[in-house]
Amino acid sequence: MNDNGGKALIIGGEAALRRMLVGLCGELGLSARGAATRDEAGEELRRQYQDLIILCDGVR
Amino acid sequence: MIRGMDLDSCILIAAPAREGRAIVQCLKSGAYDTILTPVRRRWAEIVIARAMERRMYYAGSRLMERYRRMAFHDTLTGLHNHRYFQQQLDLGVRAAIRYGYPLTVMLIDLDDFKEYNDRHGHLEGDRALRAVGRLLGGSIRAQDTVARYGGEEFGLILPHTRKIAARHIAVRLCDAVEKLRCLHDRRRPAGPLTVSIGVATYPHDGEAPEALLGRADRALYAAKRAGKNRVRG
Repeated sequence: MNDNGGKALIIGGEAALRRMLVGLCGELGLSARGAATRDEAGEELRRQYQDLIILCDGVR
Repeated sequence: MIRGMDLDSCILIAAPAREGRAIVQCLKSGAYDTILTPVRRRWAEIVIARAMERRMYYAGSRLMERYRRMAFHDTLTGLHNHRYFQQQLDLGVRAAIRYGYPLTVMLIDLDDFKEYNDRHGHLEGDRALRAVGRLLGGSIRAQDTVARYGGEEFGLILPHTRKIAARHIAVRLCDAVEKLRCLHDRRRPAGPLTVSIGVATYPHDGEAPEALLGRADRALYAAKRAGKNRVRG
């Protein structure tokens, strides 16, 4: 079902965790990008990659 | 961190289980689900797949809502359209017959609108239609229906409204349109835009939607013939 061209943005957390989640999303057919912080992701990226957002360390 | 995120997006949290209380807080704030860290691939795949299913479902629902709105609304005025008016009239007359209360239909037509358009241009004409639509929409009760019936014509359905009360309402609407300030323009002294209104009431003027519409239409033309900016029926 996930070869739908959806876009995922992974923000925060350790680089290794982000890489792992980007890879996982890619395997599920999503186009995924990672960013260390919300600022780094920027407005434009957040707008483009808005189907799915994974907040790592988002609870802090 | 979840604050300020676009809640149209599907948001997942990736966090260790020891952050339980904070995770619950995020879920309450709009996050959809949690991927516990360290990540178990199979479980994370399921969470992401479910999140995307949900995202697609909501995107589909929004699309349906947009189509539904397009099917029953007039894009220029934002009021309901002819199709919705007919549907509501059928339902309204059936309810009036069943529960034995009066129901009034009004057809409201802008006077000399073609001349208004020719003189002021179609953009001004559209502005006038929107202004009258706003006025009508703001003048009705929750149980009433107002729609753009077509062209420069609007329709009103007023349940529980007898003929005498309906005529008073129609006269008030005529006055209110004539006083609409946005349609007065000193540079173009063509006089204010006015409306003529035809009124028909169940059961007095007919017992079927078509009969009531026919009666309101004839009353509207009687108002035009009698000099416009008035109510008949």
